[in-house]
Amino acid sequence: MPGLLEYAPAFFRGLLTTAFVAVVSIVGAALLSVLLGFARRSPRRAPRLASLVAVEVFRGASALVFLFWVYYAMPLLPGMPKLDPMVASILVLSLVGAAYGSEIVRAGIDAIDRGQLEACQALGLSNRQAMRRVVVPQAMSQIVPAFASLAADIVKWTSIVSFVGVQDVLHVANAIRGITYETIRVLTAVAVSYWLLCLVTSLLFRALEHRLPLNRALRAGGSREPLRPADRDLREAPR
Amino acid sequence: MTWDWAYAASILPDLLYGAWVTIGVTLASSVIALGGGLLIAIAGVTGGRAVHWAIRILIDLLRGVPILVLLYVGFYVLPQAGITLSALPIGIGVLGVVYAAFCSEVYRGALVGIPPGLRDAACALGLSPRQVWQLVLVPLMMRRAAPALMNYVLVLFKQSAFLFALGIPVLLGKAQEAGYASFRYLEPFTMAGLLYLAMNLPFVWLLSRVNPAHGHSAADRPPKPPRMPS
Amino acid sequence: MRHFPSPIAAIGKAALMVAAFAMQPGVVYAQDDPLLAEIKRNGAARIAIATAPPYAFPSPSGEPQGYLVDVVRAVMKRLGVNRLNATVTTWDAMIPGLQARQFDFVPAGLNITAPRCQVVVFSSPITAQQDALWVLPGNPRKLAGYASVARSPETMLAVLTGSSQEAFALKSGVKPGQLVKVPDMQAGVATVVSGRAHAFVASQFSVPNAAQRGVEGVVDTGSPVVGIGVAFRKDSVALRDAFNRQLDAMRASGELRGLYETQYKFSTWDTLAKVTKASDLAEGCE
Repeated sequence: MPGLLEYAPAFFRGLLTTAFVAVVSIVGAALLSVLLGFARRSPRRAPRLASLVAVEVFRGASALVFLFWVYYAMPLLPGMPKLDPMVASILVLSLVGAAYGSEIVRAGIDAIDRGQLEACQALGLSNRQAMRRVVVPQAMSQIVPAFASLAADIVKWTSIVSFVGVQDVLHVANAIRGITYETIRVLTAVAVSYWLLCLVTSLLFRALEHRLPLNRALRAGGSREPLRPADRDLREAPR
Repeated sequence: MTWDWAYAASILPDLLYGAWVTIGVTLASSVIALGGGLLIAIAGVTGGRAVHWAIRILIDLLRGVPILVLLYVGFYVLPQAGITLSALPIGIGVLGVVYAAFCSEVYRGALVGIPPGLRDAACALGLSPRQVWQLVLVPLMMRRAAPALMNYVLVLFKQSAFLFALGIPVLLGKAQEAGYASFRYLEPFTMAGLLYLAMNLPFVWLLSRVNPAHGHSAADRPPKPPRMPS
Repeated sequence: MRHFPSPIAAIGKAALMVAAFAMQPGVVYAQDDPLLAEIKRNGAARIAIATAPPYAFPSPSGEPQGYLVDVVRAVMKRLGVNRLNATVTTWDAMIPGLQARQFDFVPAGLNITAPRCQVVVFSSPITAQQDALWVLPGNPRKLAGYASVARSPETMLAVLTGSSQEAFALKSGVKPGQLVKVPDMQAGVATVVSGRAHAFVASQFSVPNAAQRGVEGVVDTGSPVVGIGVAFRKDSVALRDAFNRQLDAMRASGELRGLYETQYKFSTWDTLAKVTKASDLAEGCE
């Protein structure tokens, strides 16, 4: 019987699948988070309540529970489609990720002092312009680091997709373990793989943070990064 | 296929047993996580640089690996190291130890937030180091850390579902067993999902009680990590 | 959307219906069963396998291999299909996946059982085996089967969660407290080797290279004889029958015996020779 080494190509294919599912889910979660985050702050009742319900529901149980429901139970309801395991996985991971991400977005925007919004209004900017040009760019400096943490968590959540048949690294690893019985080697390889994936995710987000226009005043406790020369003129007094 | 109430009723006892196991697992691992986390935090602060860095490195390693993989490691690798336990203690133990590491970070954050003047005052009053910890620091830490710790209990409740992969009869495991045995998946998984959501509600209520600023802007409340899933 | 005048619309609809009817496989390939024709069109049969050596499991390159795969390859070759497209999946995803037409048939190693016959149709049996207790070499507790486990209440028995062995163990008098549930074969063997359980009950051929894995098998001759069949959807009976005809031919020519006994060294050919229909193994199976 061959060992783990012979199955290495299959292992790497699984790793690529995991990376793919993670990336698509993170992007999906990010997009949905923005939608949900703004809906949570909406002045209108309907979107506010609907998003509140959605967020509380998807934070109320493990993503695994939702995945099993979407993959096994949902197709049995009349009219519901039978989803491909990959599609079901990405859908569930994005939704659950968005439930947590929406809170990050909401908290990030709420953290921007009301005075900024009022100043914008005094200057005659519309709410949308105020958001786009003043509030959100500042909020990003708080949202992105928190979202980086969530993204690393989403990478770890992808381990659940092995249960619905997606050939991710954990699924392949379990198959290899069942054939070669080399438990320690296989599990070590899986653990290291996930750890590296999380590391890469964090580094990518750190790089993303660097590219954001940072407002020094919002980084309580002092900024870790130097301001770009152009920003120095806009520097506010530290709080 | 539509809903079969008779079948749903027949599997309800099994699912309720699974819910019971879920609650038990959550409580047991929470005790280990909250208690162990406190000990790790104290050790990290009082134990010297080597201990401090060892703990930081361990937490960093644990953070990057899914809990499912850690459960498999505990299940398969521990016996080879001589620790022969059945699946349930291993499941509870792995969850407890891993989240003890994460909780220790919360405790450490709370500890760092206590003004040094308080420690000095306690010292000046002649309290022994042990008394300082017991009477002053730990109660303060607990109060400041409570919201984040409650959050971790909630996380443990949700992570308990993963124990089905070791054969432990948590709610999700019972639902899957029922579905596989009868080829009817709609009722078990829907009921399990609803039960999980229902069990989650008391936690959410408790969380909003402990942290009255839940839902208000970040400026109103002390620094607290957003409700992180794991 | 443009609105066509009514007569043109009616003719158009009729033309579409005729075209759709004409394109159905049943009309174009009159001599082949529709599923077989579809498989031939796709160029490969879509099958599901799990990780169950020696029956069916993936090779390092992802190709399916194992006794069941060899049998299926031989049969499909005789039917004119030369390639297999295998998906490695979990046991509980197989029958739902089959029903959802994700797979054409499932040769993963599902035993022919009465409950399963309610939802799928099986080919004639291609294995015949009983359960075996996998114990530490030398059989320190001198276990012989389910009954001996039931007789000594401190004996811990590992079983696959939700398996027929679990059900049969309980029926044989093993107490629920004696059962150690494991998720897969390797976990079961691991529990015995690590001492967490005294025996792991699974089918007698399911642990290849047992000595290498640190266990030995003790067949419980009192356990029911079960057999693996290839699972088809209920609407694919025609393909199942074609499959069975080829299997019968392989039995007659000795090809099946060659695979079973000589190549894979399964010891129960005499039993397999006697069970020729799915209904021989389980009631209610066509």
